[in-house]
Amino acid sequence: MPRLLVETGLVLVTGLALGLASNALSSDGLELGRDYFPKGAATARPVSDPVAEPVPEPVPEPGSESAAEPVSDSAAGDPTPPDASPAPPPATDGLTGAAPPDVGSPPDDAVDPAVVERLAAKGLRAATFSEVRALHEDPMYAYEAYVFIDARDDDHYADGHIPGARQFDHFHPERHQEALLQVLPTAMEIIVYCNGGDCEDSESAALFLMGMGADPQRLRVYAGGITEWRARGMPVERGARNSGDLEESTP
Amino acid sequence: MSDATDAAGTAGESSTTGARAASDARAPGAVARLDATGLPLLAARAVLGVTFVVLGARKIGDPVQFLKLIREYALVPDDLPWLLNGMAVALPWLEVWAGALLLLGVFVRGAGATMLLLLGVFTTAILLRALDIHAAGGQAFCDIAFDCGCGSGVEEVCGKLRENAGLLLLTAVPLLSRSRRFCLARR
Repeated sequence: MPRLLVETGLVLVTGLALGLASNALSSDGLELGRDYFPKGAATARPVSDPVAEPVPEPVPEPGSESAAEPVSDSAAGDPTPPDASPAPPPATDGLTGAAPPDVGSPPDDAVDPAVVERLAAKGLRAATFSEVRALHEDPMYAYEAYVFIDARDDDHYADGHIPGARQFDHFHPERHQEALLQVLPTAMEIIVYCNGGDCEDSESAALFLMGMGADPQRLRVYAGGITEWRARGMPVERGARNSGDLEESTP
Repeated sequence: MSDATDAAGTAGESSTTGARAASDARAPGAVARLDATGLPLLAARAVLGVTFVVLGARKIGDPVQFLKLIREYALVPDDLPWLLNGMAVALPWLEVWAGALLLLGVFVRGAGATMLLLLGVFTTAILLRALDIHAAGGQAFCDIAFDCGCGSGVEEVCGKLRENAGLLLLTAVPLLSRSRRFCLARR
């Protein structure tokens, strides 16, 4: 019996050590001390806390040169300096909280009250399909006045994301953080989504973005996610952001 | 009186020992002879080893997905992220390690005991979660299907429990077998 215990102990200790060492060496490894499933209360600042809210960067003059060209791709290390960000649209919706451009809401365009409640408990707000679609079809979307963030992993993102959406996998924030820091301060609206349904990645990513300084009043979670987007017949973009490889969805 | 009692006792013991020896020569002897061929152990090592290596390797390939799945069992308090994260990165390697040792025939009993421990914990967790789902949704127990984080995707819970029960029984072979035929380490 003692020999069995010693053998078992050896197998357990060496196996666990192997796992921890492999994790430390892997580029896909997890940070052991990090909470990947924040609850919001401790991580996110309350929406109504005016002291904690970040100050938006100065808005360039409308019609300035920087507002004339759509923003280039989102690869990390994007050389675009923060002060060269495009001009956001006139402060009519995102900043004031007024409704975004309305393209006609389908009758069933509503977020499940349970989801709204869950988001609210984390200090987050929900966006409906029609709101997301309106922002996506707004001409200022091309200038990243409205930033869409896909919170899923590389494979899912490449398989099809909302056209123009940036990726932010909060399990590997270092891969996307730098590029996002250049567009978040000037974004009028930030929409975060994942698969929809029970998917929590968008919520965790939104809380992480708030920790990075994203304004909670401009940040919303598209609860329906890519599943609803596709189900409503909206196109998705395959591969990298702005790849131009669009795929029509069949409702 | 005393001598007579001792004599009777000795005769009784002798008779019992004889019966035990006769019994040992029959049923246990057959099991022992089968065990001595090394074939039952070889079969158990192959099944358990391949299962653990394959399923563990799948989890190693996607630690984030495994982390999400084991979190659903709520085995670890949310305020101990290092424990949950540690389980997500270490358990799959432990599975692969135990499976590889068993396949090689090194630390056979230790690897078997490790598998018994892992299977016992996983199977209990799967059963409890399925019972929770059953109680919450009123779904027929065997109609319940979910991704248990076992590395085999979404499966019906009854099938998974049967499979795990079979594997649990199989761990008795490396634990109890005295044979070390076909093993790299003979002790």
